[in-house]
Amino acid sequence: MAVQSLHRDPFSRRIAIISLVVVVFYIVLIARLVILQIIKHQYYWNQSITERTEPITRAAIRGDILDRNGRLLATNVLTVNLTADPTLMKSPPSELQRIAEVTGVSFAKLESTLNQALNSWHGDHPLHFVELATKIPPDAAHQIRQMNLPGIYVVHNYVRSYPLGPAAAQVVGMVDMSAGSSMNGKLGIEMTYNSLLSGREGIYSAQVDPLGRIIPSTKRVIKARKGGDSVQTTLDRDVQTIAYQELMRACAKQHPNYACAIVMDPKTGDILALVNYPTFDPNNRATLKTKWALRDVAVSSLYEIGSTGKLITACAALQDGVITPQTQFFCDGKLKVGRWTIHDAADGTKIGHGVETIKQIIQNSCNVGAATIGLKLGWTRLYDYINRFGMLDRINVGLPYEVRGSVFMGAADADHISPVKIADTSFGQSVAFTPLSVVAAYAAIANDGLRCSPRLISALITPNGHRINVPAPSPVRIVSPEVAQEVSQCLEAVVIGGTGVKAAVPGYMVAGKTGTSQEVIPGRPGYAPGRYVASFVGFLPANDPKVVIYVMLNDPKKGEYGGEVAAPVFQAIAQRLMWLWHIPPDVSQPEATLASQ
Amino acid sequence: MLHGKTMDVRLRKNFDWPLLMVTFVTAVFGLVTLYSATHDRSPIFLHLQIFWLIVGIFLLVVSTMVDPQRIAKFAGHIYIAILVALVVVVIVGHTSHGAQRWISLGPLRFQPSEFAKLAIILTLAAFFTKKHEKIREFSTLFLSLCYAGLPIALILKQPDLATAVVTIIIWYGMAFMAGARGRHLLFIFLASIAIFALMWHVGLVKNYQKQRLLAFINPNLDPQESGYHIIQSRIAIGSGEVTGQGFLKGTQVQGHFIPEEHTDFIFTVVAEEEGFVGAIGLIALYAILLWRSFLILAGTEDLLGRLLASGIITMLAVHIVINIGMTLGIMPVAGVPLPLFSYGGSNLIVTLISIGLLLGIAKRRHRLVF
Repeated sequence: MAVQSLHRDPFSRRIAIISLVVVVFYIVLIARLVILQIIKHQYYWNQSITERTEPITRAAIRGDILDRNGRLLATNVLTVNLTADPTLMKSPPSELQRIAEVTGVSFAKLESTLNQALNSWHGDHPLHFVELATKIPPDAAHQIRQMNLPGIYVVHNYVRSYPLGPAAAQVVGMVDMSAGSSMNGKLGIEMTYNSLLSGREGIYSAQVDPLGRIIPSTKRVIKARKGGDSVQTTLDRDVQTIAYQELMRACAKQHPNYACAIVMDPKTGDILALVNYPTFDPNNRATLKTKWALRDVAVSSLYEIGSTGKLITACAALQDGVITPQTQFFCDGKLKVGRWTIHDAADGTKIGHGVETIKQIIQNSCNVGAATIGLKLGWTRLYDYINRFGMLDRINVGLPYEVRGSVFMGAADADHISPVKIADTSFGQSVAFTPLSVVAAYAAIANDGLRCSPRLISALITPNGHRINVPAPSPVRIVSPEVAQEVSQCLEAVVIGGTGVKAAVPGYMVAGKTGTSQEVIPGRPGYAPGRYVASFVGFLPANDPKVVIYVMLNDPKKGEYGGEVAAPVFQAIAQRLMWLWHIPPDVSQPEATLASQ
Repeated sequence: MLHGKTMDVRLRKNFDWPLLMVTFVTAVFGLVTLYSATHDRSPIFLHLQIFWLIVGIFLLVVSTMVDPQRIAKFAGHIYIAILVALVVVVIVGHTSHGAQRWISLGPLRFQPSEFAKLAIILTLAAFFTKKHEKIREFSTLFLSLCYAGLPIALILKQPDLATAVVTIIIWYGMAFMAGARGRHLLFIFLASIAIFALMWHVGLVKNYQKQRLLAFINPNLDPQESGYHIIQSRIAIGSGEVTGQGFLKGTQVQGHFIPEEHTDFIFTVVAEEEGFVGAIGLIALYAILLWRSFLILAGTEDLLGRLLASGIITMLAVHIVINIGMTLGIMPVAGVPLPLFSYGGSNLIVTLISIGLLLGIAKRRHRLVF
């Protein structure tokens, strides 16, 4: 009846109208559903993935820094830390109590760590991460995992570790963060080789829930991380340790402003040790008390090298035939050069050294003699040899802030240079060189006149063990073997009976030279009164040198001369190295026997 | 005796088993979906909903047995009672999401505005039945609007704009089916738009309501707040594709990206996990439910029964269309639950009582023939 009366009955018509409205809405709903789920499905699916997926970067494992024998100088140590999500902890006091029992960290400390973190949190969502304790013993971490405490997590972290600590702080360097994703070298090799050491961080994607927590099973690799390369140095952990111990022993007595010791193999230019004072422990940033401790004196400081510079004058004069080993000079304690008079500071008697050959000039560290020779050489030739010895180059061993040496004037200024400057330069004044360049010069003499440029990095080792050797620069001849031999004998005389007797090592022939200079005050003419730079550089055994050792102390408080302050440090290091390397004594040399008696 | 016997015969003959079945199937589908939306949070949602479903089915059976004519006699009392309940809500109600909609009775909370919809349907049905001869006069229509308007004003005060709007649409549906003149209804429609515009400017529309409306027009305006609901819902539904991601496997749903996923946005759970097939299936269940309801309406000659059925159908259809439309992003985000599906006892019970009333109307529809 209802159906029949559809067109006559107004009620039925109205039902039809209402059902039509509902049907229209229904069609719209279904159409919309088709659009969303079938036609534009891909679009919304992608949005869903984008929304749930978050890129995660993971730092690569940083490469190690090794010594010449592959022993570690810098590495990563896996540490175990405890973190907490306070929102998930069921009963913080009892959980902390159980952690305290296992880890040995006091309950009060854990509680204050947690409360401090909570009190200082002002985010607009609850705090989800608190680092409760670091460097937990592994067995304690295992027990905590077993306990399954709600909201407590055991987290692993790599921390940079430096086995030699303060002994190699400046050369090995340090990173800005002791742990975490982005270690960046801030000093030493860590800094210069940072990009090689750090490798390439990996990028991963993972789905997250609305709180941003990663859903582990959804992790995918976008770009795999690549571990950093390891850097092998020419350093030797034992030599570095010995040099450090002996330099520190001297510094404890002398309290210098700063000091350094360098040990080098003259035949290869390999730097075996590079030690600086003051220093700090890169494993504990709190030990860093002064900015001086961040400085690698050997390559980044210039100083007036003093009498050690007479080596270059002697080499130049002998090599160029300006003098022979037999040429005699007379020293009466002073030499007038223009308006100036050069005194022999080393000789308090003011009488002078009398008649002397180059051997005595070096042995007595005679300024008058050296100046006489220097003036005979002239500026052009003196400058030429300074240049050939590499004193004016930046050596580029691979440390930050390396500087180049400088002299008063360039070669082109030979005509205008005052003779007193030439005289000064010939005994190591008015010049500013780096300690490492001095070491290299002496090493050239030890190596029969062939100069090997100092080097610090010997190889790069990729994470899969592939080794890339860094080629050593080819040696450059500075003087003939004969001249080197002559000069070497002069240097032996210094230790046998000259200014450097305190450098003598019993049983070994030692060749070396003292250096004493006054410190130049930056920005003011003249020297700082009472402030000396004492140095000694030498090599042994003199007939077949195995090692060049350099010691320098800036402003020692008990003594001023290189022969008094630096030579004993040289002696101590040299002695221990001879023992370390089991080098047979060369007692056949009569002078050596004499000296040791 | 005779009366009882004829009732039994009629019950067997006229009882709308398909409507009862589709109601039951939809409710079970709803429970399963609710489990998916809440299983990793708390079992309490599912347990409470099962409890309310049992209570609701009992009330459904009771409703089929009660004669609408008798209920109509108490329309005045019911109307007063619901007004009191709505006043109580405004005064002492439980606040959630910035609105007071609930009254707590011990551990139970109920939402009088849900019951108000049914109460208004009863009131209007009784009113229009009594005044059916004067329905074409504007004054009668206006009086009926006033009856509806008083509880609507209280619902707006909570504030619950969505329920108020649904109630107004119910009034339109019932007035239309009662035989009101089209031009009167059009006039009231235009007038109410003007009033709404005035309320917007005067500030009677709450800020969050304005935001929701604006976010509906352009969800990207406010992706973090109001627009977030819409964007997340669309993404979830779009991710479902034809067959869905699988029960308990919807990435957006299980990741809890969807706000109100167990209440107002429960349709997204079906659409994402069961896909287009599941969503269309659910829409089809509702279509069957509405189709059976329309058949009951068309087959009823009793005026009160017609008006009651009209009101109930309008209520169900409006809920279904607005709720699903909202999750699909073609309706504003409004707190309108999906009947038999959304978590919440008040709406479930009201829906089941309404269907019980429809079933009762159906079995009595040949009364006038005897």
